[in-house]
Amino acid sequence: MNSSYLIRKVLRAMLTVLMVTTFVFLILRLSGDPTVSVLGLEASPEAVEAFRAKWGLDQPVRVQYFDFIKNALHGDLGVSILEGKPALETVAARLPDTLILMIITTVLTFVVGISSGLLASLYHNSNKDRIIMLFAVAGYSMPTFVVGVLLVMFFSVTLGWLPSSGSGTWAHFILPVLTMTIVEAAIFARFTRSAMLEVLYQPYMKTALAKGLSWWQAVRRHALPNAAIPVVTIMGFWVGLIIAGAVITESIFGWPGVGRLLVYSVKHRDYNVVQVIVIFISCSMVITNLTVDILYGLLDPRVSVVKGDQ
Amino acid sequence: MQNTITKDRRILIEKKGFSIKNLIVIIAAGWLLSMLIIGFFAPFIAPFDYQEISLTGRLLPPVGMEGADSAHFLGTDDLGRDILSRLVYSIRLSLLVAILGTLICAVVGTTIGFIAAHFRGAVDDFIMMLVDFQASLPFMILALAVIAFFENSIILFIGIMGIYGWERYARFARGLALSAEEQGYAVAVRTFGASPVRIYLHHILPNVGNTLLVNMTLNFPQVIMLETSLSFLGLGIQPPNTSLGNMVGFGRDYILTAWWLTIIPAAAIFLTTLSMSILGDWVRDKLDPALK
Repeated sequence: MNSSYLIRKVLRAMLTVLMVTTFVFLILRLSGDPTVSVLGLEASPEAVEAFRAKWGLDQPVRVQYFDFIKNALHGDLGVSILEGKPALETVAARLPDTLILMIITTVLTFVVGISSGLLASLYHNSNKDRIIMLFAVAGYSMPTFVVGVLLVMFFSVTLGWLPSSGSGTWAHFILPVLTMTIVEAAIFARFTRSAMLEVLYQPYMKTALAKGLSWWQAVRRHALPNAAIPVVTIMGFWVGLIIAGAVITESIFGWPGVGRLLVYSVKHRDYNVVQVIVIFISCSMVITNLTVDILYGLLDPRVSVVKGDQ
Repeated sequence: MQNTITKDRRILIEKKGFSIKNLIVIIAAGWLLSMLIIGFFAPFIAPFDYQEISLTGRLLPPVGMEGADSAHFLGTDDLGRDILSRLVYSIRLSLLVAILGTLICAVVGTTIGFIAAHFRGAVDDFIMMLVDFQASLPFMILALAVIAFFENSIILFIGIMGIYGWERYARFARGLALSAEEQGYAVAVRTFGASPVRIYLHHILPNVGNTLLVNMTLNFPQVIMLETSLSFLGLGIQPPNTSLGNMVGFGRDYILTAWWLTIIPAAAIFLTTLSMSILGDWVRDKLDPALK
């Protein structure tokens, strides 16, 4: 991996964040202003005027944008119109809840998804393979909200074992984590399986066996490292979704995290909060993509040379 | 040697799994076909007006349960509206949005990809930058921002579904067009004086069509899932229109007393996306095994 490859990637990542920020700024400003939804239709003209002046809404969009970028670079991303606190604080307060939920889900998803995908590929076309794939197809064909609602119906309503919403105790984690794991592990299982199958039928596997390695040695030394490349990519993508991935799950289970805050802020046009969340999400995705690119270069030396700028 | 071994193996595999696998594909195709027919003939199938409120017949259970009314085969909802009729119309709208979304996306994405491949240079760079941008923001988040901040209309909503996944088409179309350019036929027809539009439509498109078709079958269930998810959150299709996601969303409030409000549309969504995934995998295996 050479340094110009790295620099190009980093610059591109920064440009992407700037583009996302600009896009969100424009779309939220151009679509209308939040005065009516915050103050109501009966607000007096003076109140409306004062509100608009206070939040800088009376300025041209161009001026608002440069003010926004300038302030953002100083760590000031505006104030939540609904809460009157800095938007960054509002979002940061919700971040731990989302992160805890997502870290547990991510670990479980990786373990369950990748191991069952490996199992399915190593026993290709056996009954084990078919059963795992049956679950995988069913899992990724269900939208998250359907899984969530069905789990609530079964575990909370019929059996009465688990709380259907809220947070606080360990029992509250089970259904949201299960909901996301069912859907995501299915994707990972399927993906790992096809990555492995791709590799297992390569000539170098035959060579490895022919030169006397046992099946497991060949798998460990030749199949796993090669199959790891696409799997690491999709793992990176999933880690990037760590903040954004729970929007629906949090809404179903009343989880007090960033995802539910996003839906709420979107409904109430609290655009500084929306902006902060979107920037957080794009940063987390860009950073993980960058990390994956770098890891990619380490795992597969061909990448940085041949595909360097694609 | 290697090729023959793998080939033999594949043939063996196909024979082994022949009957059950094909049966599943046929069932999936049958389900999708019946959904299409239901959606298309919704006004003739629905026994009631799907918006008709009846406060005397609220939350009636489906036929077969205690207290059911035989006129309402799948029961009624919290406003006494016939669930079968609502289901039929929801299928109609959800499918319409998904089909239009998938088609628009295929056309838009492919065109953008071809444009990038044709002009190269700065245009290509700009388009690839947009692809990067799209990949750095989950589409759901983007859709949430656009929907809630503009007035939510069904046209806008279909438009949003129509850009969901464009970057995949653009990437494929660009890559395939670039490699088609390297093969002789594009150059050959160009030397005959064919216009770029003609080259792309008549010569390159048919050669990359399989890959794009496969991508469409993979895109379709994703569009249904996104539409129903947003509608479930109350940010998609708005009443009085009804979508399968809306039905689940509204039914959730009655999950304790009237499970059928939720289970029936949820099952319809699940079976439809499942069938489409099965069919999509089958199409991919037939047309473009390399995509696996």
